[in-house]
Amino acid sequence: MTLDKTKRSIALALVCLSLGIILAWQYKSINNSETASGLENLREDQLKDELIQLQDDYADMLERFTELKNENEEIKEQGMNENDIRDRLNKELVEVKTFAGMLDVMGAGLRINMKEGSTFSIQDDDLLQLINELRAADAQAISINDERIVAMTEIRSVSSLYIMINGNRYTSPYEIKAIGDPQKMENSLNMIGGVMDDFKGLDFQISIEKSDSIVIGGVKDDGSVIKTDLLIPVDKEK
Amino acid sequence: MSAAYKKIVLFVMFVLLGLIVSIQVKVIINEREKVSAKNLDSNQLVEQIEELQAQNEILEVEIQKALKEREELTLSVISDQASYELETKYNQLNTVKLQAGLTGVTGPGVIIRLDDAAALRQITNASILIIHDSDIMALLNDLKAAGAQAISINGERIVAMSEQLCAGPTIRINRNRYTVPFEIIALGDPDLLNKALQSSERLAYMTRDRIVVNIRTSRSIYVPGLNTANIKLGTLMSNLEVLDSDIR
Repeated sequence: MTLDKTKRSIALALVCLSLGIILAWQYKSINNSETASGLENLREDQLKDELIQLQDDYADMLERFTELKNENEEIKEQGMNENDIRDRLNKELVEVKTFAGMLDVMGAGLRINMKEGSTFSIQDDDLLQLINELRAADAQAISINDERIVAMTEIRSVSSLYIMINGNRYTSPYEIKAIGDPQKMENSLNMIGGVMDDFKGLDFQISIEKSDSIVIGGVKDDGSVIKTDLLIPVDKEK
Repeated sequence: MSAAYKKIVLFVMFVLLGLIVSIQVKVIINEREKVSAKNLDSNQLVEQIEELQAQNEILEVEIQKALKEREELTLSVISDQASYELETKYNQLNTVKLQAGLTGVTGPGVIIRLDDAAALRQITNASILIIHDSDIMALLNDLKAAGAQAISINGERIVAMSEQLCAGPTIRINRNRYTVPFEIIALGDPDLLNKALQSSERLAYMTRDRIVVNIRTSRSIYVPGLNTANIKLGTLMSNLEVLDSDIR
């Protein structure tokens, strides 16, 4: 009788044990399958975005190609007189100079005022992060304390005393101006876990103001900001 | 009473067991079907993307050809006119293009190759073992401070508004995405650039975190100009109204 009881108890224990294991397995597999399908969906969304981007690019490029082709044909047929070519060169010169950040420009955008608190000072990394975020939100011109950000602009902390921008020294407060889509830029700064959150955590005082007429000056270059003396232009075929 | 009770308990347990096993089987079957359907969808998407990429590349080459033809036409018209003023303007334009990063250039400099800490990718905190946008930003900043005159990352020329943005395992530069390894080329005084890298705090952290860093200097390296075939310069400054312009 006692033997029978022990046997039964063991059987019962075994059944309970396997039930427990199976339950755990079941729970885990449902959980797993949920995260896996979540990842799959994310990937599919990314692929769809990429596809749309590529389609847009194609349409833009086709339009551009047709335009170029027609213009070239026109030049070949009718030639260009001195005035035509002067106009073309001037137009391109303004465009390229604007692109390089050499000219004063105006447009809609953001004015950001940034002041350090008593705990942390504003470092080069903070400003770099901020302008990178603005660039990623398609900013078309940026300045910090009226120093135009150009391709080779450095933003460098010097022993926490000041920050060098285009070879000049600046300290807090900083005024950052950016021209582009104001809403898009503001959204990307205010993203959860974005730069604004980081800055608030560092006790910086920040205000963002949207404006229809931000004015950003061209780069003030004494010859040390944009240098090309070591560069040899080459026309390399792709 | 006790025996009947035990039987009931056993009965309930077996019913539960049966139920659970059948649910498990159902979940597995369901999952298999879902996965294969998803794979079909994303495979189709990948195929379409590859097709479009190839198409766009062909178009890009065509645009480059047309741009080159335009250049040659302009140049030939200018030399026909034999106008000193126009020639000066044309040269000025080329200088500004060089300054803007629109021209491919060669010069002395450094080549930095970066790769994630591959062998350690499996372990727990992968986040510190991979290269972040902030790493690239800080390195570029160090190079710029050391007088770099032209920089490219994986063949993408860095211009004034170039972003370096992490999106998952890729970094977006000039709206194009790149994965590791990253190759940064900076033209300038190789000694100054190298010194800046050796004393770069960020690079020291990256090396500590087992990011694979390879640096070499060279007397002549090629850095391409910004690719303007796939994007019109004008769209990058559509919101800018030029205020001063002494160009007549």
